[in-house]
Amino acid sequence: MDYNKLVKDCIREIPAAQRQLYDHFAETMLGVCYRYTKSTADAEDVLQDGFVKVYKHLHQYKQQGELGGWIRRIMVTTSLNFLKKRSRNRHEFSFENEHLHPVVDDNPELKITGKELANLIRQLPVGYQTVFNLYAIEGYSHVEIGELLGINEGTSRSQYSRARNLLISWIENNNEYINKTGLYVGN
Amino acid sequence: MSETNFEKNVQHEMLGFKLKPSEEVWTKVEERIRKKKRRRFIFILFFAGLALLGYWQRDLLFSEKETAATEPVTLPQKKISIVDSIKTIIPENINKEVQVRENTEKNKNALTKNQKQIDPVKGKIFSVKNEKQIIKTPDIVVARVIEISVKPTIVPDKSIIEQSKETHIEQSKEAQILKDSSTVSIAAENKINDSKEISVINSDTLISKEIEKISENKVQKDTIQKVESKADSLVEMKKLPAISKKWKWGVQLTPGIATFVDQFILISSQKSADFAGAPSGPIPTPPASPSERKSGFAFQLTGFAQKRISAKTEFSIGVQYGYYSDRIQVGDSRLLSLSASQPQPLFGVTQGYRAANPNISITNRYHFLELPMEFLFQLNKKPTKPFYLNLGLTAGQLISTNALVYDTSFGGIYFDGKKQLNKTQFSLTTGFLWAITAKKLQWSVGPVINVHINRFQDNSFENDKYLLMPGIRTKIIFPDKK
Repeated sequence: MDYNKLVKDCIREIPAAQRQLYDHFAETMLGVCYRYTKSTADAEDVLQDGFVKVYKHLHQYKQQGELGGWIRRIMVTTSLNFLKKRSRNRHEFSFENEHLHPVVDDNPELKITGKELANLIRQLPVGYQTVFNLYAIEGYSHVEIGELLGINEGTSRSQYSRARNLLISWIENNNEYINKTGLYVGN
Repeated sequence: MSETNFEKNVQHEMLGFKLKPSEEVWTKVEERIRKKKRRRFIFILFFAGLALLGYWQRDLLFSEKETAATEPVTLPQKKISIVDSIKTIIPENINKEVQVRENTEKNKNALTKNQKQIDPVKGKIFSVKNEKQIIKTPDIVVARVIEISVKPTIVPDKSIIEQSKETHIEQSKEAQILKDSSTVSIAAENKINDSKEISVINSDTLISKEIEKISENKVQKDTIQKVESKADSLVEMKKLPAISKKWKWGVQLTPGIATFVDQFILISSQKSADFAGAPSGPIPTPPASPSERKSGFAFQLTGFAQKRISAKTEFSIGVQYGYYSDRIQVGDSRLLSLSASQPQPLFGVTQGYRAANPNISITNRYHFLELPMEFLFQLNKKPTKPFYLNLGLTAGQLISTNALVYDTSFGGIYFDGKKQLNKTQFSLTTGFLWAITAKKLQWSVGPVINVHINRFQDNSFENDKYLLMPGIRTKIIFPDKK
């Protein structure tokens, strides 16, 4: 697919081009938004907001880097803004120390599907979920996460560590169940 | 970056993770992007409509012909009105005997039984008994007035005065018609100038003096004829003046107050999409709230052209500089170290002011270049002191600003917010104007309010979005160059 032409057509507001761009990236981006939110409805709201921003700011895409990566960053930003707005009064984002879950295997085999893994990530507390997504999947460093979230690097590291352990413990439980029953356990 | 295989596996799984969205998502996305396009289209349509209206009415806007006046009033009618005006001069209960000259033979016929014949030589008394007599003998009365006034002057009817142009009548011992378009006082103390003193018969002394003068036999027949011709001039004066359709030029200054409101009165405020700023995540404590926005000083300076398009309507178009301001309180400045390896697609901010602990007062200033268009509807009947209702539309472009915008990132921060402002603004204007003419300039003053109809900034973290400016407009229109 010729992304340059597609972008130009979208800037010219050709409806067919806009629909084509959406169809090409919507499923992947919904997967991104899904990991940051707690429900499919919230994920779709974020996806909607994200694509409106994409079309609005497409003229700023300077073709440095992949178009998918550029759109992905917008989706991450939109997801974080969404979480921020929701948490303004609810204090959902808390970085209080969660109970540290001991793990047996630091690198367990993932015997679960992508969606099941995503669902496990979504079950983490919001703060853990956000740090885990940014570090383990989006590839931000702890310094960058600290700047983005307004926390220091050490806090980011500790929160990620706790999130990781919690997730691994759930995966281990899942693996154990699978080993015993041969059935996947997932939400 | 992955520390172990776990991270790599997770990343591998999640980057390929896809979910199919419902069809409703695209429907809503499309609706939102088309809505913006529709709004733009509506504005374009509106201006196209104005342009069409201007083209349709181009004859009115660009024609400099003066419209024809009404038909002149015929002399006899005019004389009657002169007589009517004289009624106002001569008190109704006057019972003074004045000496007049007989002017024409026909006037003899008009004499009633109660009236004595005038002896032009000896100057007999001619008594006036009632007003009807005056009406019946307009010529006599005209002559009489001429001869009994200190200076031969006819005071025209007020209605004539209001509708007449300036005229000049030769002065001698003939009748003179005042050159004045305003109300003429007919009191004895009213003086136009030394040679044009008007006198009203309200003094016995005055009358007797005039009688003496008249008895000298100085008023001649041709004088009366001249009076008649002057009366003709009065008739001409009664023609209504042409409506000038030339463009008039002027300047106006509107000082006022700029304030931001949450909701435009006709269009409800809609929450914009999330602010696409730096990716900012949740924080342990709620961010500091945005500062209250206080109203600031504003003014508009306009150069305009104005033209009458009908008897009671004028159209004005101009170029305007608009200055608006508001005030906020912010905390200390801070540097924002954003990662260079993650380029922000939508904006990059490196410096800002904390929202917490506000101790610095900042004035946000907005400089606009605007194109105002207005219709002025005259509500009263006085052409010399019109009272207008004005309705207008202004398109403006932000050319410079130092505005700070709020975001919840970094615990609440203010930063350079030019990109978050809608630089093209449309506003509606309405108000009243009282106008007077002095020293050939038309001065107008009146209250006006300017309401912006599109959102001033796209920031979902702040409420006040629509600019409102009430003010007092002062306007000067320069005279036509002849």
